[in-house]
Amino acid sequence: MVAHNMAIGQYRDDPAAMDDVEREVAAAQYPEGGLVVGLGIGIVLPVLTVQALLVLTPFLGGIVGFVLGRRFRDYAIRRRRKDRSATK
Amino acid sequence: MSGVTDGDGETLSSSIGILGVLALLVGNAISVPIFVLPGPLAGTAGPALVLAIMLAAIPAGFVVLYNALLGSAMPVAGGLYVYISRLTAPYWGFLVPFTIPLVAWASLLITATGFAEYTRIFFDVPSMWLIYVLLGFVLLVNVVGLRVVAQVQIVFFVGLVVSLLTFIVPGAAAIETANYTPFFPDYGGFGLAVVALFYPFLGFGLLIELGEEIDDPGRTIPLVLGLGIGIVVLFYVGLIAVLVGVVPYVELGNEADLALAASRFLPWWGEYVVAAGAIFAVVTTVNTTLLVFSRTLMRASRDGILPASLSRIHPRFDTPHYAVAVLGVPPFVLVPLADEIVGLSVFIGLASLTAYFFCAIGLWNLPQEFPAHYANAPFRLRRYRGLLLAVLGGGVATGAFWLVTLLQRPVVGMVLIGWFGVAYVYYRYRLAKTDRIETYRTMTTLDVHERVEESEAQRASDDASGDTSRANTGESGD
Repeated sequence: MVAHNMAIGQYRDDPAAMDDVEREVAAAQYPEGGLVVGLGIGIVLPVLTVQALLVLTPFLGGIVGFVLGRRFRDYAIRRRRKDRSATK
Repeated sequence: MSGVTDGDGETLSSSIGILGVLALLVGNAISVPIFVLPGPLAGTAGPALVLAIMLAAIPAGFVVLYNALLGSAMPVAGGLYVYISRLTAPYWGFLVPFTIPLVAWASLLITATGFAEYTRIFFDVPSMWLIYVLLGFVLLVNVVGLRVVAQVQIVFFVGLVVSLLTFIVPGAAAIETANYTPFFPDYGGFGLAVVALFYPFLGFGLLIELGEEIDDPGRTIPLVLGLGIGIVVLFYVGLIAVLVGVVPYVELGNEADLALAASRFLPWWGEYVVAAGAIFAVVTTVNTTLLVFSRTLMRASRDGILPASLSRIHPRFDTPHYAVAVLGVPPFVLVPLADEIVGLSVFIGLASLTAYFFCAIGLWNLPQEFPAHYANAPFRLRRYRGLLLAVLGGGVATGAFWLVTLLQRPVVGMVLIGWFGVAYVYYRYRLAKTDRIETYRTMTTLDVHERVEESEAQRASDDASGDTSRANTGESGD
């Protein structure tokens, strides 16, 4: 469920379409947090080094952070599912 | 403002007519920053400031459109926070109430500085005293819940318009074209001015409230929107064109430069009229500044993502006193930053447009995620035509704002993105303090009274059939 398409127009998690594990992980907003961290790194690094890179690195950082956040979210879901099935 | 709409249940347009709606809109939109910012910005951007205000009007137009569409389709308490959290993702929505205090503090400092500098034209009192007096007055008015009655508001609005016209009309005849060269003395300063001048357009938020009140909204809202922003742009462009046309830009750089310019072509009383206009603009906003922001904090608090105390209402004054205190007290400590008028305005412009960018994504999602609400909207855009254009336009403008800010004032962008990072940590902390799934569910769904049944939407859609001003709902455009 969580691995829905991220095309524009479908960018919204619908809690009603998720199970409990997905809801719990989705609440943490990993991709969004990753985007902000990536954006921040993409701003701070060029400010400290080559300022002209500001044209590119914030956007790249944001995209990379978002993708990593999504991967971590998927990993967190898999891990929780595994833990849950092991408990059962 | 509300005094006009309350009472007998008449719509705004039926009680005071379309001109009345326009007057309310324009009166609310023309705000203190336009008296304060042109001087300091013109000092670096030069005559190109005229072009800067025109460019700033473009994202402002998008914002007005988003407000009108979302406000009419989904009238809710909490404004942008609710739209963004429900229509995109909870964390993006949470950034609104978490960043609002910073915007409110910056806004109060600019307002207080403007008040101080223009009041000093009448009384020779240290600026710092006047800044503290205004901050104290705003806090008191908002905690106690005093209201400037509608009639007084209208008198001040008329005074404001008279003051602006007194400056612009005779000033137009006093312009010396030589003052317009060089037109672009500093491209960086020009870019930064565009971002900073977005701030004076933010007063159009009133449209969210107007949505439900106007008769024949499908026709009236676009008309009032177009005319309203057109009139405000005319006032702003006229004001700045006279300022940089009458005084060489190298002599500009102070907050009260409009009064200085007035003294160049008006008799002795000219600068007093302009100063009075600035003070009128302050008075018309003191009782809305904090209370409007505090509503957003209250809604986020009720959702559980901010402390419960922020939604508590004072038993005697009937105001959200804790929320008002969070917004109104810190500026007393931050007064030394009041000198950074341009930086503060850029921060407000960037933070606000970023919020509206998320709002635009939410607007794109609206027909798909809440089709019943969109069907109920008084006027709509085709999803793959007008709506897509509005969303992309807002995205391009936001990207440009960020780029200009990062290249010209990187510290502003760093503060904002750093604050977003702090917001993420706090968001996770609040989740840990609450039932995270329940909080997540609350932040992604509307309250029961805010929901629209499909049958109602169908009826509204049927009623609208035949109205050429209404386009298809998003579903049909998919």
